[in-house]
Amino acid sequence: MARSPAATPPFPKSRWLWPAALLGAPAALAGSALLLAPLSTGPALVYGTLTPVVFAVLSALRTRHRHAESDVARCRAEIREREAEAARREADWRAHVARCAEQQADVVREEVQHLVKERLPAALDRAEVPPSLHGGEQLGDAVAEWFDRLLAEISDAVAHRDESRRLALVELASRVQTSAHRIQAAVTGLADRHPGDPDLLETTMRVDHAATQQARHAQSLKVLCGEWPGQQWQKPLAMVDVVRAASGRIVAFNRVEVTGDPDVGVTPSVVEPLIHLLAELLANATEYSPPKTSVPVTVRTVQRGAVIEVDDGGLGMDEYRLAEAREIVSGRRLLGVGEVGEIPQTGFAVVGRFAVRHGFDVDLGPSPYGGIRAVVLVPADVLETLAPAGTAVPGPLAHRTVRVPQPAPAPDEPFPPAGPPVLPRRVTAAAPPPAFPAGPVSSPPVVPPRQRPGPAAVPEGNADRKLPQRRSRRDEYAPAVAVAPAAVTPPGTPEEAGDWMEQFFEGGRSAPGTGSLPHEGQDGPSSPTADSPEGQS
Amino acid sequence: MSGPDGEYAASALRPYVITKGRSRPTRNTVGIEALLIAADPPRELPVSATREERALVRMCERLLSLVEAAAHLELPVSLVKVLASDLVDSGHLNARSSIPQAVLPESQLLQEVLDGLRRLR
Repeated sequence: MARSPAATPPFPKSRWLWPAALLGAPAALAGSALLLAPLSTGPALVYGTLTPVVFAVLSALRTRHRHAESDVARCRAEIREREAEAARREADWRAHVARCAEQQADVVREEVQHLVKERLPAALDRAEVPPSLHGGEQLGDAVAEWFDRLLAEISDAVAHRDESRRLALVELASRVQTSAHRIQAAVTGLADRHPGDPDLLETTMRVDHAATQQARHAQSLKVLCGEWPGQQWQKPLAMVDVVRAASGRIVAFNRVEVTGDPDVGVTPSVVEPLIHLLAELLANATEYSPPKTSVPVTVRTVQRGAVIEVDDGGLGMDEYRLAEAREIVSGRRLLGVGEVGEIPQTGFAVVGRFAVRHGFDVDLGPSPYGGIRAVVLVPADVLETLAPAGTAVPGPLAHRTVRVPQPAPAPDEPFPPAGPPVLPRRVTAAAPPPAFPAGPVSSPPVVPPRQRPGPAAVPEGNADRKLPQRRSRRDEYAPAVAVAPAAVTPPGTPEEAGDWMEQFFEGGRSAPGTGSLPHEGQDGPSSPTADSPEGQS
Repeated sequence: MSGPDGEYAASALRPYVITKGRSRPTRNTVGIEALLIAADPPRELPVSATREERALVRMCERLLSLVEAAAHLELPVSLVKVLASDLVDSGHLNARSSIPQAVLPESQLLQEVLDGLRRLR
C-alpha cells in the first residue's frame, strides 16, 4: 500500500524510446538506402527491403513490450490487493484477541469481586463458602483451583487462630474466676472468725461484692467463648433468692426490689445459669435507670412455668435497636466473643446463650416504667415448690417457755472456724428442763452435726401443692430442733437420771443414734445423694 | 454450699445481699449472747420478707439463742445479728439479753446422780 508503482511507469523513457526506435531505425535504413542508391543499387536495395522488415520487427517488439507491461501492472494490482486483504485480516485478528482478553479480564474481575465480597467473608466467618461464579472452563482450571486453595488456607488459618484464642480466653477467665472465688472464701472465713467486729464485716462485704462481680465478668467471658459455668449449686433455690443472688453480682445490688412467691424454686441444675442471666439483665436495668431509683423485679407463676420481669426506668430503645436486642437476648442470634462490640451487648449476648442452652424464653419490650421490660419465662419442668421458709421447725409450742441455761460464748471470744456446724448439737441439749444442770450441755457427745437426722424428718406440710415437694436449704436445722424435746427426758428420780445419763453416753459413743426420730442411716444432708432431686431433668 | 470441686464453699446469696449492705443493725443491736423468741401473739411478716427472715421468726417460736439461729440458718453470726435486730425493731422478735438464772438442782440430787453414775460402771 505504501508503495505506489502504478503512479510512475517503471520505464518512463520507453514512451519516447519506442517511437524514436520505430521511426529512427527504418528512417536510418531508408536514408542509407537513398544515399547508397546512386553508388550501388545492391546494398541500397538490401537496406530498402530491410527497412520495412526492421519496422515490422520493432512494431512486434513494441507490442510484446506493451503486453508485458500490462502483465506487470496486473500483477502489481493483485499484490496490492493481497496485501490489503492481509492487513485487514490482521486487524480483525487483533481486534478479536483484544476482545477475548477483555472478556477474560471481566470474568476474573467478577470472580475476584465474588471472592472478596462473598466467599472470603464466609470463610472468615467459618460459614459455608459459596461456590465460584464461573466454572473452571471460563476461568481456567488452574486459576479456579488456586482460588479454592486460597479460601481453604484462609479457613484453616482462621479456625486455628479462633480456637487458640478461645482456649486462651477461657483459661484466663477461669483463672480470674478461681482467684475471685478464693478471695470470697478468704473474706467469708475472716468474717466468720470475727463475728463481733462490724467494721471488719463491712470490709469483707465490700471485698466480697467486688470479687463476686469479678467472678461474674470472668464467667461472662467464658460463656461468650462457648464454655459453661462449672459451678453447680447442690440445692434448689427460691426464685426470689435467685433474683437476690443475681443482684449480689452487680454494682447497685441495693436498688433491686424483688417481689413474688417466696416458695417457688428452681432445680439446682439451672440455679447458676439463671442467677447469671438475671445478673446481666439487672446490670443493664440498673445501669439504664436513673441513679438512686429502684429496679422492680417481679416473680410470678404462670401456666407454663414462672416468669421473672425486670423493669427499668430508662429511656428505652428505638425500634431498630429493640428488635436487634430481642434477637440477641432470645438467642435467635448467637453472638460470640468476637462479635460483641459494645458493653450492653455483652450482657445480652450472655443472656441469649443461657436462654438457648437452658430453654428459658427471654424477651424484651417497652416497660410501663418508660424503659425496657425484660421477661424471662422459666419452664415448669425446672421449677420446684420449696417448703415455706421456717415450716420445718416442728418444735412444740409447749417448750417455748423453757428457760435454758445458755452456755453463751463470750462476745469477744472468736468462734472456731467450724463454728456453725458445731452448734446444732447444742440444740439437742438446749432443751433440758430447768431442773437439769448445764454440765452435760456444755460437754455434749461428739456427734457430727451433719449426721443429724436429715431432711427425711421434714414434715409433709405441703401435700396440696402442685409441684414436687422440695426441701429448702434451711431444712437442716429442723431435725435438730425436732429432736431436742424428744431426746431429753426430764429425770425425776436419781435412777431415771442415771438411766438418762447412760443413754446419753451410749448415744454419744454410737452416733448418730441419739435422737428418737428415725434416721436415714449415715446419709446426712451433707451427702449430695440425699439431695438429689428426683424429678431433675 | 460447696462448689463442684469442694474448693470453694459458699452460698449463692452473698452476705451483703442478705443484710442489704449493712454490717451493723440499724437501730437496736441484739447482743451475740441474746436469746430470741417470736412475738406473742405472732405478727404476720410483710410480703416482702425474705426467706431468711421467715425462717428466723419461725425457728424462734421456741426460745433460741442468736448463735444457734445463725448455725441453723448457716449464716455468719454477725449477719444474723443484723437480721434479728431488724426483726426486733419491727416487733416480730423479742430479744432477751440477760441469761435467765438457772434453777440449780439440789446438792442431794446431784449426789444421787453421781452415785447412780458410779453404779453404772
